Amino acid sequence: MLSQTFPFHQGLPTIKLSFTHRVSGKLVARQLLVDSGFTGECDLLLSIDDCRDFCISFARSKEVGGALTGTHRLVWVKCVLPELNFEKSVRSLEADLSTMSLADGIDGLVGLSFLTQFAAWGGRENNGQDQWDFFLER
Amino acid sequence: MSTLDIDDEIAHEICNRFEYSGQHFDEGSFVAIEGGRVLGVGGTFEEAHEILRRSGVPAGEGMVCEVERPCRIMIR
Repeated sequence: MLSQTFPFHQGLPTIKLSFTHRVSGKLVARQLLVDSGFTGECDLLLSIDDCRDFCISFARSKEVGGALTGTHRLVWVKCVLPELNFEKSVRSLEADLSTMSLADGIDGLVGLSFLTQFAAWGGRENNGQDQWDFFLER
Repeated sequence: MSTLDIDDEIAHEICNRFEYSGQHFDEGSFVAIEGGRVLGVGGTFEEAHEILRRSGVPAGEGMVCEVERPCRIMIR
């Protein structure tokens, strides 16, 4: 089984995902907050600029409730986790991140639909030193 | 109304009724839509995306709609 760990960011579980840029074709990394309370048929939430840059095609817009409300556009983006041999096109919600209280250095959210594509995921203490990692196993 | 808005309306109709313009769509399939027209249906996102590309739709344009029952996204 393949496994990858990501150090918590300011005490919060995060994943560093890479995306294929629509124009350059290069991989661009983003640090995303893991939010298992982000549910529904959508994997990620990214900024409007990132959705424009990473969009490979549009997806059907959807109603959103909770921290965001209203109808939001969705795009398909290609994301990569090389250590897990994971490369997949997933749906991302497009959102104005300035309206959300995200910590500095956080570029968006990873939701439950994304996490459940893996065999195991969660947080664990790193070497008993009160340092935590988020892990994904595939 | 923009072309993207029209494509989005078609996608909503497909997911609400599993049908559009007399054509039935199976739940779980992926529909390629562009310019107010259904261009084809694939069993995966990649198949539907390939239909867009083969139809000359530039990268980053066109819509791929997964046929699914409408449900709300929640962010708690």
